[in-house]
Amino acid sequence: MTAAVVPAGDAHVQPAGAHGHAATNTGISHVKLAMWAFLSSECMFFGAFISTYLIYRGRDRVVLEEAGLLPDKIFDIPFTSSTSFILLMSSLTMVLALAAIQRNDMRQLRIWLAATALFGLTFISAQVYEFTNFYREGLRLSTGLFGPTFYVMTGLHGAHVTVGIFWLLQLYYRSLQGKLGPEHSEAVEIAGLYWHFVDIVWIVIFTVIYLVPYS
Amino acid sequence: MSDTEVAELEAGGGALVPAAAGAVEVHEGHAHPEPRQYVLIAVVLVIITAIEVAVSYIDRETLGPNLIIVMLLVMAAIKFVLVVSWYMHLKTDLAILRRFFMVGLIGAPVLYFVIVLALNALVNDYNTPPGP
Repeated sequence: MTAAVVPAGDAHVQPAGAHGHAATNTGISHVKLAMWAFLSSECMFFGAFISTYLIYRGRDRVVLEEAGLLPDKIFDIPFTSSTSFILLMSSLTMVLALAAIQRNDMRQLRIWLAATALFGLTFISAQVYEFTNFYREGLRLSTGLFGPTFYVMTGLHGAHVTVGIFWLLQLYYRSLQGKLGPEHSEAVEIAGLYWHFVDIVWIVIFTVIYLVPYS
Repeated sequence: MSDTEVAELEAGGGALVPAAAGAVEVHEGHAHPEPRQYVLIAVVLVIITAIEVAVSYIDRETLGPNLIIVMLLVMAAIKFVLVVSWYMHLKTDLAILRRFFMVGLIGAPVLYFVIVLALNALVNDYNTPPGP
């Protein structure tokens, strides 16, 4: 087995194209392990909101029916499917950015990072548009049990996407300054883990809230 | 590590210190998938999403609401596993990361069932559907 040593204090540095096994107690870099621990806690975080939605689901049916705000009626499935498609594609561009930095192709890295941020921005814009429409139709944060559970869950997801966009833009800026090279591929990988997590949370939210029939 | 490698590292300003003090020894690991494989996974994800949306439009009387829900959840689970395995590299990464993630992944549905059980036990009319 070949081995290489990288300088101390640069623990997130990793060789291109491989999962390096760091000489730590766990055999993996602390930053990456911390990110996975964070994502694990995020599973519980979103799990709590999805659980709340499922537990309250249908218990305010009368209120929603009277207001003409049944989810089956107000959801625009073709529109939300398009935004879900965009978020799925952003996961592809994110992983292509990682592949690009690992083969030292900085131009491609910037293209894919920018594409991912742009897809994320499109998703957020679509969410703002959707929220605005729902609000105009009368669905408020205080409408029954559906209003708060829907807005809080999807809004928190949107907040995570927004954080991800800023993270991507920061990587893009570092790349422009020449401060992001193949030896820093783990920095892109860590951002990618966060971005993919945001994507898988949406996979669950999209199915549970939008596609599964409410009534 | 050869003397040449040590010399190169020291010339580059790197300090060789024990692992406990922060040095990272990197060994050959599992290679990431090729970009072509990433694109292939994306195509599969898009196809599954299209099927999901189509299934959500099927008349509930035709298949039954429960079957539709099961189909949708299974497809979402497949998409979830594909992204986590291929894009997040859990398929090829160290097992400890899978274990870390599984804690949260299993914890979330456990949390749901604990709340449902608690509501059933503590709230008398929890299972009574709300009337008009």
